[in-house]
Amino acid sequence: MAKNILIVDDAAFMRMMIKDILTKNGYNIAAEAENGKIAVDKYNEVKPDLVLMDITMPEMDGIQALKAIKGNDPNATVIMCSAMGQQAMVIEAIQSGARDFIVKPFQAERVLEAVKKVVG
Amino acid sequence: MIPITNDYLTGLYTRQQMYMFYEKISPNHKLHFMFMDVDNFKTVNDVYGHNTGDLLLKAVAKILLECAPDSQVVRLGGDEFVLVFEGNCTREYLCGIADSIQEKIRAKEGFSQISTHISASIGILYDENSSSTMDEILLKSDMAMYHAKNHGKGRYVVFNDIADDVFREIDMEKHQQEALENGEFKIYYLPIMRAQTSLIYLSQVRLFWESGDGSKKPQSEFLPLFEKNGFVRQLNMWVFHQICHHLQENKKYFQTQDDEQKIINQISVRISRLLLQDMDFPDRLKAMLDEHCICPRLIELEINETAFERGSDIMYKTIQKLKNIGFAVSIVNLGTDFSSIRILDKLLLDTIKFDAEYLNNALKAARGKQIVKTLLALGRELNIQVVADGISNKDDARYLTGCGCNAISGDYYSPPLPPDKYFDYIKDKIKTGAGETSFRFQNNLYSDDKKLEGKYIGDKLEFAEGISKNWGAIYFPGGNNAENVIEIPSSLLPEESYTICMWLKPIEANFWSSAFFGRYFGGFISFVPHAGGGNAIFRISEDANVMGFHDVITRQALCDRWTFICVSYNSISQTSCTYINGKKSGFQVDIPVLPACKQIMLGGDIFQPSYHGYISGLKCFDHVKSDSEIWEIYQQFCSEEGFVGEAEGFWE
Repeated sequence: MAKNILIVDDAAFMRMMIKDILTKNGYNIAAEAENGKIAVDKYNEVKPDLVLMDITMPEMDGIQALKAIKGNDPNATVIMCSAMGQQAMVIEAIQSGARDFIVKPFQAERVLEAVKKVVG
Repeated sequence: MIPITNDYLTGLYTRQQMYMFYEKISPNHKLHFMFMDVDNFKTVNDVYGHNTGDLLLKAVAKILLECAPDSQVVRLGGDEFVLVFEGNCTREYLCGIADSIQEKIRAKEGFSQISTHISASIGILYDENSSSTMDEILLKSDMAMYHAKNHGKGRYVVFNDIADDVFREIDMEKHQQEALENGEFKIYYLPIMRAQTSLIYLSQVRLFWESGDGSKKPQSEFLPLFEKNGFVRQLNMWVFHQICHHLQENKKYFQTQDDEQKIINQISVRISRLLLQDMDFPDRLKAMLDEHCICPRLIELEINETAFERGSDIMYKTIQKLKNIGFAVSIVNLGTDFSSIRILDKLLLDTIKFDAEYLNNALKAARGKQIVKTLLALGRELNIQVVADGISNKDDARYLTGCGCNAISGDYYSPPLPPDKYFDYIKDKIKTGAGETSFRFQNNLYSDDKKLEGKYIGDKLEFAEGISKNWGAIYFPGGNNAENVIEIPSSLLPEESYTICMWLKPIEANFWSSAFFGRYFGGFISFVPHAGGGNAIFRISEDANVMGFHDVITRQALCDRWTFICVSYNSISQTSCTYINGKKSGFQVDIPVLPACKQIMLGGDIFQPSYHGYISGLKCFDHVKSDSEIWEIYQQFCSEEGFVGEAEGFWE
């Protein structure tokens, strides 16, 4: 059965890139969100197997959203997507329960590798 | 199924991926693009090799990712990159990012081993609606980047700023050839007038582009583009062709028709520096003129000062060749920078033309005025005519005239006019004949050309010895108003402007007597040699205005000696001058024009008791004589046999 993935990023370009990579490799995109607040709502709605979460977003950033989702579901699987120069935030995310992180610009192999590692 | 891979070298997204994203995006999605091109990249590849070139590209990629973390960074190919921004970014935000990118590149972050000067040219497309195609976006960005490269490299240009200019230039370039063939370029003429006399000095060509859509572009809008793309060569030659026709058909406005064939007016044409690089050009131009039987001295070639910035020896040689053939050469826009001093040294110019904008700014401040004054003096010393272009108000015109500027053009006189209107405008502003009427008073009251005869109103007309052997004099015994005076037909003063000269030797200082009086429709003029307080006045009076006396005050004429008095009135500048013994002694402004003289009296007027004394050497001109011309007239009298007047200036 295809794994369901929630993609969270305020950039349409990003969402499209990841969607393209994932769908071409047998994964299902359960939903998309453009900020942390919507992400939390969507998570409760679709209960995905995995969340790919961007760090900097308006309304609610990725770290806050991660904490909120983990608060609702301690077993939630989240991979952070960061840009260059965001090491400190990545560390905080890992400490808050994120399983892994990938750095922009996303290479297809790296994305697939990280996803496979946590959900198979 | 394998997704498209990123750029192998930098790991950035590729052009292909960007296209894919763009295809899928919704049409109303707000996007901003920043296109970047590495200046001098090719040099690095050539000098250091491709490995170093790759290193540079990787370093640049890293800089871009660091400076714009919330953008998507794409490598288009080669040394070209794009940053894609989404959503609500401000313009300032984007420009800030462009600045930091350029700063990091200047600092050579990640590639300090490369000593070549590297910078980035950036074109920003702000708020680009994704309804444009990707190709359109790339085209616009290209233009913006091209603009940045052309204006010094290492800069960023926001396309939205230049959009209008760019599209306009592209449009002009597209239509330039057919416009020329369809006669859309029109020649207008702008008169440059002699400041003191308001007579024509030069006819300056001004091009306009009147395209089918009804727009009228002045030459400042299209000449820079044509200089850039070389079309100016063709256009320039076409202009010369037209001018030859105009000169052929209107010779009388440029050259006197008598045997002397004096040049009274020239056509001044702008000449592109591109033509000056061509040493054959002078001969080609001469050939064209020969074909139309036009003398080169009728044409003045105007060179823009900026042409000398990249001046080569060839250019100077070509200019010299043109001068040798007989063309007059002038330089325009003097004042934008002082390379002019070098030019003045190298070339024997005929004319210097001041830039209108420069002048308008300079004349606002005392320091600027001083500089202008000095430059004008420089022109005088070097015997170069100085022209002030673009003067639109009276005060500036007067100031410049006062400083010795020979010639002025601008809306103060007339805007550029099409040929037929232009020749109509200048036809009465040309000095064709001498325009002089003299009265010798050698036992008769006829003018020299016998066209006019004076009539004595009084008992006994008495002649006497005049200022020299060539001239007689009239003795005026004085009397009541209009008694013992000479009436001269009013056609002596046919024009609104005039110059009147005469020698006076008063016997009695009768206050308020007129030596010369002219009654006009709407007022009168009179010269009063004794007006009290040691003054003489030339009065121009307007009936309609109760306080309508306009007096030019000067020193009174002393009794028992001959004094040479001149007065002039310029109806265009509405100014009047007086001269004593050839030297300027008074000046007045804002004097209304009195049309149509109806009565002239010598020796008195209708209001006051008459003049008691002698009058000799009466000369009237139907135009304004300049200061130097009046001095010459005076000198001429002084040099005559039997001269009995003052040979030195009054103020010695």
